[in-house]
Amino acid sequence: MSEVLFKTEKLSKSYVSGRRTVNALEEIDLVIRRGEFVAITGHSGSGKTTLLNILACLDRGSSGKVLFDGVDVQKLGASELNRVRRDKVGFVFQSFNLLPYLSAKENVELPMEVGRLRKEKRTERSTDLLASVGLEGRGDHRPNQLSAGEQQRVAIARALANGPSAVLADEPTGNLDPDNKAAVISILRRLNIEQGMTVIMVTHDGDVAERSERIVRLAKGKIRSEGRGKFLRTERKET
Amino acid sequence: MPIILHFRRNVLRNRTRALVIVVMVGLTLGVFLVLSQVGNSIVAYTGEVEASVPNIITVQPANNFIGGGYFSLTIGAGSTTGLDANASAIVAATPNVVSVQRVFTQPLDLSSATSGATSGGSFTCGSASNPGVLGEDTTSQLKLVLGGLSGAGAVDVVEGRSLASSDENSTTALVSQAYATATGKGIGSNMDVNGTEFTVVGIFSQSCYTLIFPYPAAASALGITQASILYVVVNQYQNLATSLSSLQSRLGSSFNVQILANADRSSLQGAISAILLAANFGEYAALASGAGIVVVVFAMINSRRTKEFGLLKALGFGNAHILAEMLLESLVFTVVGLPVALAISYIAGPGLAQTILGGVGASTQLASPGSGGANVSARGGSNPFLQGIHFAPTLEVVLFGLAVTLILGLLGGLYPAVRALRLRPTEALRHE
Ligand SMILES: Nc1ncnc2c1ncn2[C@@H]1O[C@H](COP(=O)(O)OP(=O)(O)OP(=O)(O)O)[C@@H](O)[C@H]1O
Ligand SMILES: [Mg+2]
Repeated sequence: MSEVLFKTEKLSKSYVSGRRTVNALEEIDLVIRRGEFVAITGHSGSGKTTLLNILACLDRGSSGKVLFDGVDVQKLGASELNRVRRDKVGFVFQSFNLLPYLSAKENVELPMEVGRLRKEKRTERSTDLLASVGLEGRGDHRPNQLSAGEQQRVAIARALANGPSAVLADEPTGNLDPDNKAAVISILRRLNIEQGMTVIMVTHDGDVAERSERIVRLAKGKIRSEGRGKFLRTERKET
Repeated sequence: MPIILHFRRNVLRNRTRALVIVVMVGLTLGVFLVLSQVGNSIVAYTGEVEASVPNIITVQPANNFIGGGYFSLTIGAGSTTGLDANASAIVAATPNVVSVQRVFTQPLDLSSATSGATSGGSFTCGSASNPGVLGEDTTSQLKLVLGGLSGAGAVDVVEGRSLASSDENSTTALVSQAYATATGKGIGSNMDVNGTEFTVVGIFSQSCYTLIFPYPAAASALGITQASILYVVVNQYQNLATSLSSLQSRLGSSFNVQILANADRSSLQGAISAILLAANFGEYAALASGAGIVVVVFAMINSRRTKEFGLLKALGFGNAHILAEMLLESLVFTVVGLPVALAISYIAGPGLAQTILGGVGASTQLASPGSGGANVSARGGSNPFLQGIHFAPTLEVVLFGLAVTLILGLLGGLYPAVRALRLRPTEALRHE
């Protein structure tokens, strides 16, 4: 078995708004190993996004431990979390979140700008990344000149910009038609297979979840069950 | 470096947004520049007026010295202790005293005026053969006094010229119209006073028989050693009261020291304070509302970027980076807005100033402030406030605008930046 990348211990998260308290996550114990392709599913409001955001260091749990690469990120300060996000996390949003005034290439290079990579290196890397998601030659287009599927592929390339330890995607196919859905999933799968990239993907779409290696089902903030997807390790070796 | 890069792309590629901001900033600053120029003009002119109105204290012998006034001179009454050279020196050496004008009044021929008149007899208005003489210092900033003691108006020369400070040690003379008519004297005529030859250089309007000579020559020709009154000019209005008491204590009780009653003076002072207050208030109000508008504009425009900041945070950009980008952006916008502001101020300034100050009009020009005859140099023209005002972008105006701009820019950028920083990336990303 490969090394543990994420480990949560009794991770809980509650949102307090006014007098109401919502327990979005309750005592989640979850282990994700390096190189896994995990789908997190569940009904709306079951806590998928909440869990993913905490794993991605975009948010903090209310209690419990979150170990990311051996570091308890719950104990890190805001600027340390920033650094973790910059260096170790590649996040893909359901709504792409590309900056409209930047070209595809510039969007991909954006995270590298904090990383202080030299300009030629950045250009080289963004060109490679765009090619790897099938967008060679589209680097100069703005988001509004790209289709939804293409935009999401730019977003995946951006997530990979700083060579993260894991790609975390929240409903990456939620806004896409079946063809683009398939394209995005196969990019993520290829990433997982070819580079051993850890992928954690939130989806409420059963078909999409089935294409992962392991499915974690949430219900009302708890892990209801775990199962295997159709994307098995054996299949992985064949591909 | 990435800050500038990111900023440049953001600004250059959101042209409409940039244009709106620059115009808003320019408009606000332009109005502010105009108002501050208007304020400056008010302050400058008011200061000029204030400086031109002398603050006068009179010093007289406590008891009637020779008489209570030239035109109703009471012969032989009262004390004979006048203001001699010693008293004048004490006055001149008193702190805050700017200048001293000595004045004496006496009939040209004292013995003939008093002959046959015992104590209590009077000498009024003089005659063609024995006119009244006023010896006056010409070096003071005050106009020559017409009648003599306090309450007298200023000399109004109708022909020739008045006495200037260069006449102080000469034997030039002014004569009243009545005297000139009665004796046939004109400009250039000579007259002999106890062996001293005086030359007439000007004729002033008066129906009494009066001669005005520079004090030193007049005093020596008539054997006068003591002045009847000193007009003491104090540097500042605020120092009048302290100067009054220090003069009184230095001179002792044998002299009356008084602030020259001057209704114009006190009402002027009140008006000046009110005007200065209003001018400053207007400027601060413009600055405050300008800052308010700029801050609101930036806040509005940047709140649409909250999601973007959330994304930048999610990608690992630090708070310092986001703050720096925001501040840089608002600074650049305001600095770019400055030329717009200068243009607006240059084009719309005169009209706005006319609207604001046009109603002030000629009524603000001072009448000669009464007794003592101060030499007020009011600006000419119909509206003195509009005269010194200029809206051309001089270096001074540009630097001033730049300073204000930088402050507004920082204020405008700080609020939205700090607000954006307090959000967690997930919260910021939820913003639409
Ligand atoms: N900022 C918040 N404030 C208050 N409650 C919140 C907040 N974010 C999420 N919640 C609540 O927490 C619970 C879990 O939300 P979460 O977004 O994780 O669900 P989800 O599984 O991602 O749902 P969906 O499939 O609709 O995206 C929900 O009941 C939600 O209403
Ligand atoms: Mg969700």
